[in-house]
Amino acid sequence: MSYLPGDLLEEILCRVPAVSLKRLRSSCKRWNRLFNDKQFSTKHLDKAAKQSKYLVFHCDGLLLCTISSDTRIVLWNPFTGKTRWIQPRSTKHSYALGSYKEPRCGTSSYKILSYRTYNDHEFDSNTWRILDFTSDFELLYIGTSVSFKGKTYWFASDREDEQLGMFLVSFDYTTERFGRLSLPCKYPVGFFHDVALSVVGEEKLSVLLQPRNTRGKEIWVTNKIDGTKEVSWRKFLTVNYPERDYWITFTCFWVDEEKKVALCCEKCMFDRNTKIKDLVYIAGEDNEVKLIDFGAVTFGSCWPVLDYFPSLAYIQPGGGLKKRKRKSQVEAKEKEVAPTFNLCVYFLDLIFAVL
Amino acid sequence: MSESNKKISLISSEGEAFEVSEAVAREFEIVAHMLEDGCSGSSIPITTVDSNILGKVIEYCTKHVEVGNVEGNSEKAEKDLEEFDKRFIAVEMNTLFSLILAANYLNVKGLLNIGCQKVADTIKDMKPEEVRSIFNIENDYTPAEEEVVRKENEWAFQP
Repeated sequence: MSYLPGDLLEEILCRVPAVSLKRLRSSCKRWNRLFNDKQFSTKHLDKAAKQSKYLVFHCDGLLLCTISSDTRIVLWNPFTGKTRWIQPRSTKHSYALGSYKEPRCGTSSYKILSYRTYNDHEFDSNTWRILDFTSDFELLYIGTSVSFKGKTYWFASDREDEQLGMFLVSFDYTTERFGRLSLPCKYPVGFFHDVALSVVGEEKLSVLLQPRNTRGKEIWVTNKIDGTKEVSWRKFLTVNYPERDYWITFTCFWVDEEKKVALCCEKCMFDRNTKIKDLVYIAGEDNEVKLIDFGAVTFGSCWPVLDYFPSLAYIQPGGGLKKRKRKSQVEAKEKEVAPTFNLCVYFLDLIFAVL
Repeated sequence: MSESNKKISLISSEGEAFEVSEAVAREFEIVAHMLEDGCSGSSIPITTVDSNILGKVIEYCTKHVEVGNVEGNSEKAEKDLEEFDKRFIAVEMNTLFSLILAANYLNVKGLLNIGCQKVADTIKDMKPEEVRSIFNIENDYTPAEEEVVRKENEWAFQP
Protein backbone atom coordinates (compact mmCIF):
# COMPACT_ATOMS: atom_id res chain seq x y z
CA MET A 1 0.00 0.00 0.00
CA SER A 2 0.90 3.67 -0.06
CA TYR A 3 3.79 5.25 1.64
CA LEU A 4 3.37 8.28 3.85
CA PRO A 5 6.37 10.32 5.03
CA GLY A 6 7.18 10.31 8.75
CA ASP A 7 5.75 13.70 9.58
CA LEU A 8 2.39 12.76 8.11
CA LEU A 9 2.43 9.44 9.96
CA GLU A 10 2.91 11.37 13.18
CA GLU A 11 0.11 13.67 12.16
CA ILE A 12 -2.11 10.58 12.04
CA LEU A 13 -0.77 8.88 15.15
CA CYS A 14 -1.24 11.96 17.29
CA ARG A 15 -4.95 11.54 16.61
CA VAL A 16 -5.08 7.91 17.75
CA PRO A 17 -6.39 7.62 21.33
CA ALA A 18 -3.73 6.77 23.91
CA VAL A 19 -4.98 3.30 24.80
CA SER A 20 -5.00 2.21 21.14
CA LEU A 21 -1.66 3.83 20.51
CA LYS A 22 -0.08 1.90 23.33
CA ARG A 23 -1.18 -1.31 21.68
CA LEU A 24 0.24 -0.18 18.33
CA ARG A 25 3.67 0.48 19.81
CA SER A 26 4.81 -2.94 18.75
CA SER A 27 4.30 -2.10 15.06
CA CYS A 28 7.86 -0.82 14.72
CA LYS A 29 10.64 0.73 16.76
CA ARG A 30 9.99 4.23 15.55
CA TRP A 31 6.41 4.14 16.80
CA ASN A 32 7.59 2.76 20.10
CA ARG A 33 10.00 5.67 20.50
CA LEU A 34 7.16 8.15 20.03
CA PHE A 35 6.04 7.23 23.51
CA ASN A 36 9.04 8.96 24.99
CA ASP A 37 8.98 11.87 22.61
CA LYS A 38 8.00 15.05 24.39
CA GLN A 39 7.07 16.90 21.25
CA PHE A 40 4.87 14.07 20.09
CA SER A 41 3.18 13.73 23.46
CA THR A 42 2.34 17.43 23.49
CA LYS A 43 0.87 17.14 20.03
CA HIS A 44 -1.02 14.01 21.05
CA LEU A 45 -2.46 15.69 24.13
CA ASP A 46 -3.67 18.47 21.90
CA LYS A 47 -5.22 16.42 19.12
CA ALA A 48 -6.24 12.94 20.26
CA ALA A 49 -9.63 12.13 21.69
CA LYS A 50 -9.27 11.80 25.44
CA GLN A 51 -10.03 8.20 26.24
CA SER A 52 -9.01 8.71 29.80
CA LYS A 53 -11.89 10.94 30.65
CA TYR A 54 -13.31 9.12 33.60
CA LEU A 55 -16.03 10.48 35.73
CA VAL A 56 -15.90 8.88 39.08
CA PHE A 57 -18.48 8.50 41.76
CA HIS A 58 -17.54 6.59 44.85
CA CYS A 59 -18.96 5.08 47.98
CA ASP A 60 -17.62 2.60 50.54
CA GLY A 61 -14.34 2.20 48.68
CA LEU A 62 -16.10 1.36 45.42
CA LEU A 63 -15.59 3.55 42.41
CA LEU A 64 -18.27 3.92 39.79
CA CYS A 65 -16.68 5.18 36.61
CA THR A 66 -18.11 6.39 33.35
CA ILE A 67 -15.65 6.37 30.50
CA SER A 68 -16.08 8.54 27.48
CA SER A 69 -14.75 5.89 25.10
CA ASP A 70 -17.12 3.19 26.32
CA THR A 71 -20.87 3.24 26.54
CA ARG A 72 -20.74 1.03 29.60
CA ILE A 73 -20.04 2.02 33.15
CA VAL A 74 -17.74 0.11 35.44
CA LEU A 75 -17.88 -0.52 39.14
CA TRP A 76 -14.41 -1.03 40.55
CA ASN A 77 -12.97 -1.87 43.89
CA PRO A 78 -9.33 -0.85 43.45
CA PHE A 79 -8.37 -2.58 46.66
CA THR A 80 -9.67 -6.04 45.79
CA GLY A 81 -9.19 -5.48 42.07
CA LYS A 82 -12.72 -6.65 41.27
CA THR A 83 -14.72 -4.96 38.55
CA ARG A 84 -18.17 -5.24 37.12
CA TRP A 85 -19.28 -3.74 33.84
CA ILE A 86 -22.80 -2.47 33.50
CA GLN A 87 -24.73 -1.51 30.41
CA PRO A 88 -26.42 1.81 31.07
CA ARG A 89 -29.79 2.71 29.66
CA SER A 90 -28.53 5.92 28.20
CA THR A 91 -25.10 7.43 27.77
CA LYS A 92 -26.38 10.87 28.64
CA HIS A 93 -27.12 10.19 32.29
CA SER A 94 -25.20 10.84 35.44
CA TYR A 95 -24.79 8.13 38.01
CA ALA A 96 -24.64 7.81 41.75
CA LEU A 97 -23.83 4.77 43.82
CA GLY A 98 -25.18 3.93 47.24
CA SER A 99 -25.50 1.09 49.67
CA TYR A 100 -28.51 -0.49 51.31
CA LYS A 101 -28.90 -3.30 53.77
CA GLU A 102 -30.40 -6.52 52.47
CA PRO A 103 -33.57 -6.93 54.54
CA ARG A 104 -33.16 -10.69 54.92
CA CYS A 105 -29.49 -11.17 55.75
CA GLY A 106 -28.36 -7.67 56.72
CA THR A 107 -25.44 -7.61 54.28
CA SER A 108 -24.60 -4.50 52.30
CA SER A 109 -25.58 -4.37 48.68
CA TYR A 110 -25.27 -1.56 46.21
CA LYS A 111 -27.53 0.22 43.79
CA ILE A 112 -26.72 2.61 41.02
CA LEU A 113 -28.98 5.58 40.57
CA SER A 114 -29.09 6.85 37.02
CA TYR A 115 -30.35 10.33 37.50
CA ARG A 116 -32.03 12.63 35.12
CA THR A 117 -34.70 10.04 34.69
CA TYR A 118 -34.16 8.15 37.93
CA ASN A 119 -33.61 4.61 36.83
CA ASP A 120 -32.43 2.43 39.60
CA HIS A 121 -30.06 -0.43 38.99
CA GLU A 122 -29.89 -3.33 41.38
CA PHE A 123 -27.03 -5.72 40.96
CA ASP A 124 -28.97 -8.88 41.46
CA SER A 125 -31.41 -8.38 38.69
CA ASN A 126 -29.05 -6.70 36.23
CA THR A 127 -31.89 -4.67 34.86
CA TRP A 128 -32.79 -1.03 35.14
CA ARG A 129 -35.95 -0.24 36.98
CA ILE A 130 -37.70 3.09 36.56
CA LEU A 131 -38.54 4.80 39.82
CA ASP A 132 -42.06 6.00 40.10
CA PHE A 133 -41.18 9.53 40.99
CA THR A 134 -41.75 13.09 39.82
CA SER A 135 -39.08 15.45 41.05
CA ASP A 136 -40.09 18.76 42.55
CA PHE A 137 -36.50 19.97 42.61
CA GLU A 138 -33.62 20.71 40.24
CA LEU A 139 -30.25 19.23 41.05
CA LEU A 140 -27.43 21.77 41.03
CA TYR A 141 -23.66 21.29 40.68
CA ILE A 142 -24.13 17.55 40.15
CA GLY A 143 -20.38 16.98 39.89
CA THR A 144 -20.06 17.46 43.62
CA SER A 145 -22.54 14.89 44.93
CA VAL A 146 -21.46 12.48 47.67
CA SER A 147 -22.65 9.14 49.02
CA PHE A 148 -22.42 7.69 52.50
CA LYS A 149 -24.48 5.64 54.90
CA GLY A 150 -26.94 4.56 52.25
CA LYS A 151 -27.73 8.00 50.90
CA THR A 152 -26.49 10.25 48.12
CA TYR A 153 -26.55 14.03 48.61
CA TRP A 154 -26.72 16.81 46.02
CA PHE A 155 -27.21 20.57 46.03
CA ALA A 156 -30.65 21.43 44.73
CA SER A 157 -33.29 24.11 44.34
CA ASP A 158 -37.07 23.94 44.26
CA ARG A 159 -38.64 23.65 40.85
CA GLU A 160 -41.64 25.83 41.71
CA ASP A 161 -40.67 28.11 44.55
CA GLU A 162 -37.47 30.04 43.98
CA GLN A 163 -37.83 31.65 47.40
CA LEU A 164 -36.77 28.40 49.02
CA GLY A 165 -33.23 29.00 47.75
CA MET A 166 -30.60 26.31 47.82
CA PHE A 167 -30.80 23.16 49.92
CA LEU A 168 -29.52 19.61 49.88
CA VAL A 169 -31.46 16.68 48.48
CA SER A 170 -30.75 13.12 49.54
CA PHE A 171 -31.72 9.81 48.02
CA ASP A 172 -32.22 6.89 50.37
CA TYR A 173 -31.22 3.65 48.64
CA THR A 174 -33.26 1.51 51.03
CA THR A 175 -36.59 3.32 50.86
CA GLU A 176 -35.87 4.73 47.38
CA ARG A 177 -37.20 8.09 48.44
CA PHE A 178 -35.80 11.60 48.16
CA GLY A 179 -35.53 13.93 51.14
CA ARG A 180 -34.50 17.53 51.73
CA LEU A 181 -31.92 18.93 54.09
CA SER A 182 -31.23 22.59 54.90
CA LEU A 183 -27.87 24.26 54.38
CA PRO A 184 -26.30 26.26 57.26
CA CYS A 185 -28.22 29.37 56.21
CA LYS A 186 -30.74 30.27 53.56
CA TYR A 187 -29.00 31.17 50.32
CA PRO A 188 -30.58 32.19 47.02
CA VAL A 189 -29.78 30.10 43.95
CA GLY A 190 -26.73 31.46 42.18
CA PHE A 191 -25.42 33.10 45.34
CA PHE A 192 -22.18 31.14 45.27
CA HIS A 193 -19.07 31.32 43.17
CA ASP A 194 -18.00 27.85 44.25
CA VAL A 195 -19.69 25.04 46.20
CA ALA A 196 -18.65 21.50 47.09
CA LEU A 197 -19.71 18.57 49.22
CA SER A 198 -17.57 16.16 51.18
CA VAL A 199 -17.95 13.40 53.75
CA VAL A 200 -16.24 13.53 57.14
CA GLY A 201 -15.26 10.23 58.71
CA GLU A 202 -18.13 8.41 57.00
CA GLU A 203 -20.57 9.91 59.46
CA LYS A 204 -20.87 13.64 58.81
CA LEU A 205 -21.50 15.84 55.82
CA SER A 206 -19.45 18.88 54.98
CA VAL A 207 -20.09 21.73 52.55
CA LEU A 208 -17.77 24.31 51.10
CA LEU A 209 -19.46 27.57 50.17
CA GLN A 210 -17.89 30.58 48.56
CA PRO A 211 -20.27 33.49 47.97
CA ARG A 212 -19.78 35.54 44.80
CA ASN A 213 -17.46 38.52 45.04
CA THR A 214 -15.61 37.10 48.03
CA ARG A 215 -12.45 35.08 48.30
CA GLY A 216 -13.35 33.22 51.46
CA LYS A 217 -14.50 29.61 51.23
CA GLU A 218 -16.54 28.67 54.26
CA ILE A 219 -16.39 25.04 55.28
CA TRP A 220 -19.26 23.77 57.41
CA VAL A 221 -19.62 20.34 59.03
CA THR A 222 -22.80 18.65 60.32
CA ASN A 223 -23.29 16.64 63.47
CA LYS A 224 -23.32 12.87 63.10
CA ILE A 225 -26.00 11.89 60.63
CA ASP A 226 -27.66 8.76 61.94
CA GLY A 227 -31.30 9.43 61.19
CA THR A 228 -32.28 9.97 64.82
CA LYS A 229 -31.32 13.59 65.46
CA GLU A 230 -32.00 16.74 63.49
CA VAL A 231 -29.05 17.73 61.33
CA SER A 232 -27.20 20.84 62.51
CA TRP A 233 -24.24 22.74 61.01
CA ARG A 234 -21.08 24.08 62.60
CA LYS A 235 -18.59 26.35 60.83
CA PHE A 236 -15.31 24.50 60.63
CA LEU A 237 -12.94 26.83 58.77
CA THR A 238 -12.82 29.76 56.40
CA VAL A 239 -10.19 29.41 53.72
CA ASN A 240 -8.92 32.62 52.17
CA TYR A 241 -6.92 31.23 49.33
CA PRO A 242 -5.78 31.98 46.64
CA GLU A 243 -5.42 35.63 47.47
CA ARG A 244 -6.37 36.99 44.10
CA ASP A 245 -9.50 37.31 42.06
CA TYR A 246 -10.29 34.57 39.68
CA TRP A 247 -12.77 33.99 37.00
CA ILE A 248 -13.69 30.34 37.43
CA THR A 249 -12.98 28.02 40.30
CA PHE A 250 -13.97 24.45 41.18
CA THR A 251 -12.84 23.02 44.44
CA CYS A 252 -13.05 19.59 45.95
CA PHE A 253 -12.01 19.18 49.53
CA TRP A 254 -11.48 16.80 52.37
CA VAL A 255 -11.71 17.59 56.04
CA ASP A 256 -9.64 16.22 58.91
CA GLU A 257 -11.64 17.28 61.92
CA GLU A 258 -9.09 16.21 64.46
CA LYS A 259 -6.19 18.08 62.92
CA LYS A 260 -8.48 20.99 62.07
CA VAL A 261 -7.30 21.12 58.48
CA ALA A 262 -8.92 20.91 55.08
CA LEU A 263 -7.23 19.56 52.00
CA CYS A 264 -8.39 21.45 48.94
CA CYS A 265 -7.84 20.64 45.28
CA GLU A 266 -8.85 23.58 43.25
CA LYS A 267 -9.08 24.10 39.52
CA CYS A 268 -9.03 27.77 38.73
CA MET A 269 -8.72 30.15 35.87
CA PHE A 270 -7.62 33.61 36.82
CA ASP A 271 -8.96 35.15 33.66
CA ARG A 272 -10.17 34.22 30.23
CA ASN A 273 -6.68 34.03 28.80
CA THR A 274 -4.92 31.80 31.30
CA LYS A 275 -4.98 28.03 31.34
CA ILE A 276 -6.72 26.07 34.04
CA LYS A 277 -4.41 25.71 37.01
CA ASP A 278 -4.59 22.95 39.57
CA LEU A 279 -3.86 24.12 43.09
CA VAL A 280 -3.52 21.66 45.93
CA TYR A 281 -3.21 23.03 49.42
CA ILE A 282 -3.83 22.29 53.05
CA ALA A 283 -5.72 25.02 54.85
CA GLY A 284 -5.68 25.30 58.61
CA GLU A 285 -6.95 27.72 61.20
CA ASP A 286 -5.90 31.38 61.22
CA ASN A 287 -5.64 31.44 57.43
CA GLU A 288 -2.63 29.21 57.41
CA VAL A 289 -2.25 27.68 53.96
CA LYS A 290 0.38 25.21 52.85
CA LEU A 291 0.62 24.85 49.11
CA ILE A 292 1.59 21.40 47.86
CA ASP A 293 3.83 21.42 44.84
CA PHE A 294 2.81 18.82 42.31
CA GLY A 295 5.32 20.03 39.78
CA ALA A 296 4.07 19.72 36.26
CA VAL A 297 1.48 17.09 37.17
CA THR A 298 -2.09 18.17 36.63
CA PHE A 299 -5.38 16.45 37.16
CA GLY A 300 -6.32 17.09 33.56
CA SER A 301 -10.01 16.70 33.10
CA CYS A 302 -10.21 14.31 36.05
CA TRP A 303 -11.19 15.08 39.57
CA PRO A 304 -9.16 13.65 42.37
CA VAL A 305 -11.08 11.45 44.75
CA LEU A 306 -10.15 12.71 48.17
CA ASP A 307 -12.30 10.82 50.63
CA TYR A 308 -11.66 7.37 49.21
CA PHE A 309 -10.70 4.63 51.62
CA PRO A 310 -9.74 1.09 50.72
CA SER A 311 -12.46 -1.41 51.54
CA LEU A 312 -13.39 -4.99 50.87
CA ALA A 313 -16.84 -3.93 49.64
CA TYR A 314 -18.06 -6.86 47.62
CA ILE A 315 -19.10 -6.52 44.02
CA GLN A 316 -21.69 -9.07 43.11
CA PRO A 317 -20.53 -10.75 39.90
CA GLY A 318 -22.85 -10.07 37.02
CA GLY A 319 -24.14 -11.98 34.08
CA GLY A 320 -25.81 -15.12 35.48
CA LEU A 321 -26.11 -17.64 32.66
CA LYS A 322 -24.19 -15.59 30.15
CA LYS A 323 -21.28 -15.25 32.51
CA ARG A 324 -18.98 -17.75 30.87
CA LYS A 325 -19.27 -16.21 27.49
CA ARG A 326 -18.62 -12.73 28.73
CA LYS A 327 -15.71 -13.55 30.93
CA SER A 328 -12.92 -13.03 28.44
CA GLN A 329 -14.28 -9.68 27.42
CA VAL A 330 -14.57 -8.49 30.98
CA GLU A 331 -11.03 -9.53 31.76
CA ALA A 332 -9.65 -7.71 28.78
CA LYS A 333 -11.51 -4.58 29.71
CA GLU A 334 -10.33 -4.77 33.29
CA LYS A 335 -6.80 -4.72 32.07
CA GLU A 336 -7.57 -1.79 29.91
CA VAL A 337 -8.89 0.30 32.73
CA ALA A 338 -6.91 -0.46 35.81
CA PRO A 339 -3.51 1.03 34.94
CA THR A 340 -4.98 4.44 34.26
CA PHE A 341 -6.66 4.53 37.62
CA ASN A 342 -3.43 3.74 39.38
CA LEU A 343 -2.42 7.30 38.85
CA CYS A 344 -5.34 8.52 40.90
CA VAL A 345 -4.46 6.20 43.74
CA TYR A 346 -0.90 7.38 43.60
CA PHE A 347 -2.06 10.95 43.98
CA LEU A 348 -3.91 10.03 47.11
CA ASP A 349 -0.97 8.30 48.69
CA LEU A 350 1.07 11.35 48.05
CA ILE A 351 -1.43 13.66 49.65
CA PHE A 352 -1.75 11.52 52.72
CA ALA A 353 1.99 11.34 53.00
CA VAL A 354 2.15 15.11 53.01
CA LEU A 355 -0.58 15.39 55.59
CA MET B 1 -13.04 42.07 -13.46
CA SER B 2 -13.69 42.08 -9.75
CA GLU B 3 -11.35 40.00 -7.66
CA SER B 4 -13.96 37.48 -6.54
CA ASN B 5 -14.78 36.60 -10.16
CA LYS B 6 -11.19 36.13 -11.17
CA LYS B 7 -10.52 32.63 -12.45
CA ILE B 8 -7.36 30.68 -11.95
CA SER B 9 -6.32 27.47 -13.67
CA LEU B 10 -4.75 24.74 -11.58
CA ILE B 11 -2.80 22.28 -13.71
CA SER B 12 -2.60 18.65 -12.53
CA SER B 13 0.42 16.38 -12.93
CA GLU B 14 -1.13 15.04 -16.14
CA GLY B 15 -1.41 18.57 -17.50
CA GLU B 16 -5.16 18.82 -17.12
CA ALA B 17 -6.41 22.33 -16.29
CA PHE B 18 -9.01 22.94 -13.57
CA GLU B 19 -10.53 26.38 -13.66
CA VAL B 20 -11.52 27.67 -10.24
CA SER B 21 -12.40 31.01 -8.68
CA GLU B 22 -9.60 32.79 -6.90
CA ALA B 23 -11.41 32.33 -3.58
CA VAL B 24 -11.29 28.56 -4.00
CA ALA B 25 -7.68 28.60 -5.17
CA ARG B 26 -6.77 30.64 -2.10
CA GLU B 27 -7.99 27.74 0.07
CA PHE B 28 -4.78 26.08 -1.09
CA GLU B 29 -2.43 27.97 1.15
CA ILE B 30 0.44 27.25 -1.17
CA VAL B 31 -1.45 29.00 -3.98
CA ALA B 32 -2.46 31.85 -1.68
CA HIS B 33 1.21 32.43 -0.89
CA MET B 34 2.15 32.36 -4.55
CA LEU B 35 -0.52 34.95 -5.32
CA GLU B 36 0.64 37.14 -2.45
CA ASP B 37 4.20 36.85 -3.63
CA GLY B 38 3.10 38.51 -6.83
CA CYS B 39 2.74 35.44 -8.99
CA SER B 40 0.29 36.95 -11.42
CA GLY B 41 -0.06 34.12 -13.89
CA SER B 42 -3.54 32.75 -14.30
CA SER B 43 -2.43 29.12 -14.40
CA ILE B 44 -0.56 27.40 -11.61
CA PRO B 45 1.01 23.97 -12.05
CA ILE B 46 0.40 21.48 -9.25
CA THR B 47 2.89 18.94 -10.48
CA THR B 48 2.71 16.44 -7.62
CA VAL B 49 -1.06 15.92 -7.64
CA ASP B 50 -2.91 13.93 -10.28
CA SER B 51 -6.21 14.94 -11.87
CA ASN B 52 -8.36 12.58 -9.84
CA ILE B 53 -7.07 13.85 -6.49
CA LEU B 54 -6.80 17.50 -7.57
CA GLY B 55 -10.45 17.35 -8.67
CA LYS B 56 -11.41 16.04 -5.26
CA VAL B 57 -9.42 18.65 -3.36
CA ILE B 58 -11.05 21.36 -5.46
CA GLU B 59 -14.47 19.87 -4.71
CA TYR B 60 -13.66 20.03 -0.99
CA CYS B 61 -12.43 23.63 -1.13
CA THR B 62 -15.32 24.79 -3.31
CA LYS B 63 -17.85 23.43 -0.83
CA HIS B 64 -16.07 25.03 2.10
CA VAL B 65 -15.82 28.39 0.36
CA GLU B 66 -19.52 28.22 -0.61
CA VAL B 67 -20.66 27.48 2.92
CA GLY B 68 -18.27 30.08 4.33
CA ASN B 69 -19.99 32.72 2.17
CA VAL B 70 -23.51 31.96 3.31
CA GLU B 71 -24.60 34.28 6.09
CA GLY B 72 -27.02 33.42 8.85
CA ASN B 73 -28.36 29.98 9.74
CA SER B 74 -24.79 29.07 10.60
CA GLU B 75 -25.69 26.11 12.76
CA LYS B 76 -27.43 24.30 9.94
CA ALA B 77 -24.67 25.21 7.52
CA GLU B 78 -22.08 23.82 9.90
CA LYS B 79 -23.99 20.60 10.23
CA ASP B 80 -24.28 20.28 6.46
CA LEU B 81 -20.59 20.85 6.13
CA GLU B 82 -19.88 18.18 8.72
CA GLU B 83 -22.05 15.77 6.74
CA PHE B 84 -20.26 16.72 3.56
CA ASP B 85 -16.85 16.13 5.18
CA LYS B 86 -17.99 12.75 6.43
CA ARG B 87 -19.15 11.64 2.98
CA PHE B 88 -16.15 13.20 1.30
CA ILE B 89 -13.67 11.29 3.41
CA ALA B 90 -15.44 7.92 3.14
CA VAL B 91 -13.02 6.59 0.51
CA GLU B 92 -10.69 3.63 0.37
CA MET B 93 -7.34 3.88 2.12
CA ASN B 94 -5.16 4.52 -0.96
CA THR B 95 -7.27 7.48 -2.03
CA LEU B 96 -7.29 8.72 1.55
CA PHE B 97 -3.50 8.65 1.66
CA SER B 98 -3.30 10.51 -1.66
CA LEU B 99 -5.71 13.12 -0.32
CA ILE B 100 -3.60 13.55 2.81
CA LEU B 101 -0.43 13.90 0.77
CA ALA B 102 -2.10 16.45 -1.51
CA ALA B 103 -3.64 18.37 1.40
CA ASN B 104 -0.24 18.48 3.05
CA TYR B 105 1.52 19.68 -0.09
CA LEU B 106 -1.13 22.24 -0.99
CA ASN B 107 -1.51 23.15 2.67
CA VAL B 108 -5.26 22.72 2.94
CA LYS B 109 -5.45 22.44 6.72
CA GLY B 110 -9.08 21.40 7.10
CA LEU B 111 -8.70 18.52 4.65
CA LEU B 112 -5.42 17.41 6.23
CA ASN B 113 -7.14 17.37 9.59
CA ILE B 114 -10.18 15.30 8.58
CA GLY B 115 -8.00 12.97 6.49
CA CYS B 116 -5.60 12.20 9.33
CA GLN B 117 -8.50 11.85 11.76
CA LYS B 118 -10.18 9.35 9.45
CA VAL B 119 -7.04 7.20 9.24
CA ALA B 120 -6.57 7.44 13.02
CA ASP B 121 -10.16 6.30 13.56
CA THR B 122 -9.66 3.42 11.15
CA ILE B 123 -6.46 2.07 12.69
CA LYS B 124 -7.32 2.55 16.33
CA ASP B 125 -8.94 -0.85 16.69
CA MET B 126 -6.51 -2.73 14.43
CA LYS B 127 -3.77 -5.16 15.31
CA PRO B 128 -0.13 -4.08 14.84
CA GLU B 129 0.21 -6.55 11.94
CA GLU B 130 -2.70 -4.99 10.07
CA VAL B 131 -1.39 -1.50 10.67
CA ARG B 132 2.04 -2.48 9.38
CA SER B 133 0.57 -3.66 6.10
CA ILE B 134 -1.54 -0.51 5.72
CA PHE B 135 1.40 1.83 6.18
CA ASN B 136 3.92 -0.41 4.47
CA ILE B 137 6.02 -0.45 7.63
CA GLU B 138 8.72 -3.01 8.08
CA ASN B 139 8.68 -4.82 11.40
CA ASP B 140 12.17 -3.97 12.63
CA TYR B 141 11.85 -5.84 15.92
CA THR B 142 13.47 -9.19 16.47
CA PRO B 143 10.85 -11.69 17.65
CA ALA B 144 12.32 -11.48 21.17
CA GLU B 145 12.20 -7.69 21.23
CA GLU B 146 8.66 -7.69 19.90
CA GLU B 147 7.63 -10.07 22.63
CA VAL B 148 9.02 -7.70 25.28
CA VAL B 149 7.12 -4.70 23.91
CA ARG B 150 3.97 -6.77 23.57
CA LYS B 151 4.29 -7.98 27.14
CA GLU B 152 4.71 -4.43 28.37
CA ASN B 153 1.51 -3.46 26.63
CA GLU B 154 -0.38 -6.63 27.25
CA TRP B 155 -3.29 -5.01 28.99
CA ALA B 156 -3.89 -2.90 25.93
CA PHE B 157 -4.60 -5.91 23.74
CA GLN B 158 -8.27 -6.56 23.59
CA PRO B 159 -10.39 -9.05 21.70
